[in-house]
Amino acid sequence: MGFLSLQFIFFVPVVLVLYYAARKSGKNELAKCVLTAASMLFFALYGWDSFLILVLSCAFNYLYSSFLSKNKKPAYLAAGIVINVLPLLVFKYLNFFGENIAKITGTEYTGVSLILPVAISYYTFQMITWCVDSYRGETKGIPVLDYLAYIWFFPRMVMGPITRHDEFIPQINDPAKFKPDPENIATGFLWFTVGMSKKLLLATRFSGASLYGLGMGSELGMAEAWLCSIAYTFQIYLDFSGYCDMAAGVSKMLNLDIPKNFNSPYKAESIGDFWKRWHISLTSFLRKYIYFPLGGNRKGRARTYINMMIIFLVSGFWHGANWTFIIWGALHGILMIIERLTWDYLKKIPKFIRVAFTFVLVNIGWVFFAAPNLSMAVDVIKEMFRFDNIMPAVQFYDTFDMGTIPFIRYHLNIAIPLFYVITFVCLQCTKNIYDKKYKPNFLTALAAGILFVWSFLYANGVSSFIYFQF
Amino acid sequence: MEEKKNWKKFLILELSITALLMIAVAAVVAFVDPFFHYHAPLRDFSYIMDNERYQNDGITRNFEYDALITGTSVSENFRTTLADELFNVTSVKATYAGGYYKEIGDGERRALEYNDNIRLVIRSMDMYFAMTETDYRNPQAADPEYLYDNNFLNDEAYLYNADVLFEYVNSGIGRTVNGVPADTFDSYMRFAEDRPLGAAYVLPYVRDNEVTGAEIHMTDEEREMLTANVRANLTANIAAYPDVEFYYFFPPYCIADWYTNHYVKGDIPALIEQMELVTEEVLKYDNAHVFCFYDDTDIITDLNNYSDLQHYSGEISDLLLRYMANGEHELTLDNYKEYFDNVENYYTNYDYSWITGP
Repeated sequence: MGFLSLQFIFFVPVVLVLYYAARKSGKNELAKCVLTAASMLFFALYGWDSFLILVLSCAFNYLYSSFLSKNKKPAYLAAGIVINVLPLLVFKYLNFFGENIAKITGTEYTGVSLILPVAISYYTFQMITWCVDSYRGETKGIPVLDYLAYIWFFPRMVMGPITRHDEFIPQINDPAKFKPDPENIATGFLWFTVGMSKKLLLATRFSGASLYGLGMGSELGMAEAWLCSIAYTFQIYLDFSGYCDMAAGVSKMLNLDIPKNFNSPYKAESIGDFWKRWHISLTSFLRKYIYFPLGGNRKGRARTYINMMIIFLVSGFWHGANWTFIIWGALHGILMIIERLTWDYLKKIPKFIRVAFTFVLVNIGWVFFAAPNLSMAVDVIKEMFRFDNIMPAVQFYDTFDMGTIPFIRYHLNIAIPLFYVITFVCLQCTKNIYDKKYKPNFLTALAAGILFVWSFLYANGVSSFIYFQF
Repeated sequence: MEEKKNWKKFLILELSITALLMIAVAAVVAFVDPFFHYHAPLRDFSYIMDNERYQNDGITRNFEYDALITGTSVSENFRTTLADELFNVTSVKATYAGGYYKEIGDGERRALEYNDNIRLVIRSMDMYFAMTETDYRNPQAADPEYLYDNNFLNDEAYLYNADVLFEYVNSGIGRTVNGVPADTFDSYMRFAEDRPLGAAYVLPYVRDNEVTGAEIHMTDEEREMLTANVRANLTANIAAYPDVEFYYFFPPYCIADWYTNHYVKGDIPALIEQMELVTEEVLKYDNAHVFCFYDDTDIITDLNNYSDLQHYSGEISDLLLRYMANGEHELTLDNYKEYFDNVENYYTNYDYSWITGP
């Protein structure tokens, strides 16, 4: 069951009613059971194989964390981490390693056909946080029901945000959050609606141009190469942040806050700033569980830069078993180091130039991220800097599927560039939806209703979220 | 406290508006029902009929008719008004471009199950779609299962669908207001007027391959596969509905198709054996008729009748209906062997040199 289905739209109210009914009856353990059972049902509908793998991982980590909290030896912690990472390596990276080792050794490798368990990248990191926190003695005394509700929590189960136990478990035990709050339910619905419209009304519009760009490669003109890459830059943000808004919205309805994953990333003034705003929960995880244990910036400049490169390479590799992701991670790592080295000069440049420059660098990075292979990424980037063909082809305009919209269909060469400009301005100027104060009036209610239905009309036939594959 | 009350009111308002809009959209789509999924067409509504995979099931389920025209794209140019006149029936057209035997057989079966009044079925039998496993479907064709599975729980894909609402309901309302009549079965999926005819359009499809000189026959495995497919997807319906007359025909592909797809490869014997097998299987039933037009060489060898290797003009489509209504070019158990011998002889010895040119 995905977020973009009628089943989910009926599923959420049922969960809300059962959850708050259990809270009202004073049986808080029952409320946690409702939440866990609903989450398990939600996840099981993605497939039994993925469900069973998560059940095993969940059981192992609970038992192993009890062991770890009593046997605090670094070797045991390392073993716990390795056992968690192993399934991820096997299911997601086995063929990648096999193919590359075969290339290096000049041997042949026959790919193994394995399922990629849903959400494995996310819950592997989440389980690691649990293991490490147990080793640090932070999970002592957490009841199994709390643990289950935390691990399985359905709004953020599939694509994050990666949440630590101390960000979630205290909330489900906080009496102030036991009663349904109309403001939270109404606001959660607004967030959900905004998220759905980001995905269905905007991200999917840009997806055609992204695919077109990656299909054409070296046949693109300069303008097309830029427009297609920017289309992906918009698409990936609108797609992933749309999902996060929906997840945060459903959580909000349950009076539960999940960590904010985005904070207007394209307003970033530098690459460092970008990473404080993009996929924040992943960055936090990498900092807390890899960068700091490696020494962070406490062991001299050289080690700091090495540590930075390590976390960016891990980040890239985590996203997928492909050199394109590794290069994307490496690129960001290198840019971060250069930025650190030159920051005294960079900070004197006017802010709007820094924002624009950061946007361009991030945009180039996304080309590697989106491309199916390195040569395709290089082809697109080459075209971006080949100064010819400044007019996009008709086929480019067709990718926006606006040919049936009255009036606009005759002016696509104006409407589509305008669509880019409006999107860019909105991403630069609008407030984050979590910081907005909504007015509970008729117009807001009407706008929410119309936006919800309008978006939902586009739910059929839409591909899954980009981050679902990670 | 006051603020809490406001939010409570707002929440009720927000959810009520959303629910009302959701219900309204579903109600409008269900009322107009542009794919005829729930009911017969509204009398005065200007329906847009241009999407066979989405509209066929509703048509066969909810229209009033007693004759069905089906098959692949070679049946799309048939005019139901002519069929009605020739066969004294009320017909509908439900074709499946690029459809394999399974898809067409399923559509035909569902129509027969829905409608007890059917007394005539006219269907093409394309040999290019015959040699497959019994359940093979065209993987590239749209497969809107939610319209075919009789499960209302997945109808959301129809009721909440931007294309349906904006392109079929909204545009249909616009056409109705402007007095545009609903599309008819004569025009439904018909492309005859859109595609130019003649050698200039047909010959580019001819591949410049060398004649192999081979003589390829149908293998035992192919015979087994074809027999199973024909029995599952052609004759099963004929056997199940003995009161219905089935008019099945081999569509007349043009001489350039014979050349590039058969003569060059040397598989004319195999093709003839396949058509013989299909004919034998179908003619086991008294309520079945088989028509083949390859002996009408005036049609086949004149590229002005074709827009490509397989698709013939609207006029030829009319002519084929007339032939069938008059019982011309009909194969029987007595004549089919001789008929196919003559056809094989003709196309094996035909002088194709003009097709490849000097």
